[in-house]
Amino acid sequence: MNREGERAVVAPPRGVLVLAAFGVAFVVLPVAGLAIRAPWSDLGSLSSHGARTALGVSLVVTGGAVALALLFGLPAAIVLARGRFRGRALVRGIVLLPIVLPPVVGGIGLLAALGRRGLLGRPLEAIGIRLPFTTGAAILAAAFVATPLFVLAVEGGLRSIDPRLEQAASAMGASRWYVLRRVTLPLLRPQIIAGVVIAAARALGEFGATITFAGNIAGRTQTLPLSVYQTLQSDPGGAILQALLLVAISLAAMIALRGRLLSP
Amino acid sequence: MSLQVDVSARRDGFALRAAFSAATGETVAVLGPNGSGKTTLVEMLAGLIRPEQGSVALDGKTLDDARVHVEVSRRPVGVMFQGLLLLPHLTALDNVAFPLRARGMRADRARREALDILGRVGATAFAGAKPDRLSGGEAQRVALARALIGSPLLLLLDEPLSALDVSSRTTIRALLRRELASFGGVAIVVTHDPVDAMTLAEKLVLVEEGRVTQTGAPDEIRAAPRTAYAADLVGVNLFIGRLDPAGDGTAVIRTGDGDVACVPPGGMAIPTAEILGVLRPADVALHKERPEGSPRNVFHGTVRFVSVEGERARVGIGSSPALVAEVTQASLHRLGIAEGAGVWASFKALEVHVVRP
Repeated sequence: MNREGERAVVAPPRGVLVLAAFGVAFVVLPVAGLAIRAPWSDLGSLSSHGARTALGVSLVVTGGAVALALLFGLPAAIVLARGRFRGRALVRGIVLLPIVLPPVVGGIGLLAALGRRGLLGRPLEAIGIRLPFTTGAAILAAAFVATPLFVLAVEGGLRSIDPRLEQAASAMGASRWYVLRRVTLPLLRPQIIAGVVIAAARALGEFGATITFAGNIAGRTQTLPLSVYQTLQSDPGGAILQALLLVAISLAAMIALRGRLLSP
Repeated sequence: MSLQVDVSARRDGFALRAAFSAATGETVAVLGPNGSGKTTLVEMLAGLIRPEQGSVALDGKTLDDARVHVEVSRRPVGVMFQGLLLLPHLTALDNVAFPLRARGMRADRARREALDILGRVGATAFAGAKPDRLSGGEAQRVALARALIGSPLLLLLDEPLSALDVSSRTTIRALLRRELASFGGVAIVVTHDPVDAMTLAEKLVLVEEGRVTQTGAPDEIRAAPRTAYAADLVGVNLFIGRLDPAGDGTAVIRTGDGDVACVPPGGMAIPTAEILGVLRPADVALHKERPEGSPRNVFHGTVRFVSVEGERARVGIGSSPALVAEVTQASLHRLGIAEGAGVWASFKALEVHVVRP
């Protein structure tokens, strides 16, 4: 590594290197374990009905969760970064709470709010909406844990934009909407893409809130992680293959993050 | 009078109090040291901040007063921002078209007009480039075009020549002079550089520590500067003209109103089409009789004004070129200097500081 602009540094002490090596090994070992223990000859079982269905549900749930993160997370990030109101720190803490909350707590919370006996469950049911144990519930559970990560990424991006550029745009006759559409959002593109990738990765791996709020119903709410867990009881080899599929998807997301998508 | 400003404004705890006016077609330079409140004035005229008190009127229409505050996006104002602030995700062409697009013009028409203006400022060649691909001078041209598009009634240029290297400064300054001369509205140039101010504007507004300390034509301020800042920066003698060789390493500035001998710095090309000579009034010596000896520059004229400031006095001399000298009160009496009297003035060629405008 001798890239231009890289500055000379004092090499870290040997002890730090050793501990760092353990840290790296700690990540590599499980993944390597999966690859080594996988029954590669059974690779065809991935195309079995159950695994394919779970993958399909996962993609729908992840896509839906990302859509919700964009729809509500983007405005939330803009308000948190640009708005000036009392209690902003409190609102910010509430919005970001799911990051530190155990997902199962989120799932129970969703159940308490939107379940059949929940706060909004009855009114929703009155207008014909029944959420628990539907794909919609799985989407909500995934969005609950993924949106804060998206908000965090976009909010950081907004803070790095020179506010004078937006001021200049309005001094050139642009309305607030026009500034947002033609200046802020284009400048924010790299962070929005990064936020989408992070939120998608988190939604894809969601387990606790989903199984609590949406259950584990094949073809409807059983996402790939739930399927891995269930398959493990009866077919450890098949579970490993499905787990490797998740590894592959996550790696692809990481590569997308590093690639050209990130440059403005 | 087309622009009337009489306001006090506040920004980040910094207070500005300013009153001045400007006629249509006139270029006014707002000149002051860094941190004097110039940018606050620009932001207020652009509508980004609202004055606390007072009013701003343009062509008889109120932009700001106790009741009215015309929205920033609805002001007929073109701005060249300090640091330019070209939008990094748009090409030069789309940057210039932005003010028209923002006001609702269709893309193809806006682009056509933008291309016209880019041609006027000599920037057609890089119309398709993003700002990070432009040199300092190129970016300046694009920013100027963006300020001029849409025929604003008020043009605000905030430090339009800062952050440029010497050679592009000269060309951009010439471009600015040409554009300002043909501009039909009121133009305000904000700068901390007196040379920029005096070469671009007919009228100066001096701002110090949030207050306007003096307004007037450069000649008027030179005659009677009210503050030390005014005296130091605007109160100097300026000679603008062609630099011609004069043998033995010296040169003359042909001002069109008499020649001034000078010693240009090494490396400066002689002849040069336009050059600026700066002479401090304190370096001008006054005499009753024609001085003998070495000074290369000797001029005779009648005393146009005498303004006394403490122990020092500024003497304006109607020579060719006209001069301002600063002398002590004692020598004023010794030489019998009074308005209308004849006087000799001299200064060394070395004391004329030659700079490229």
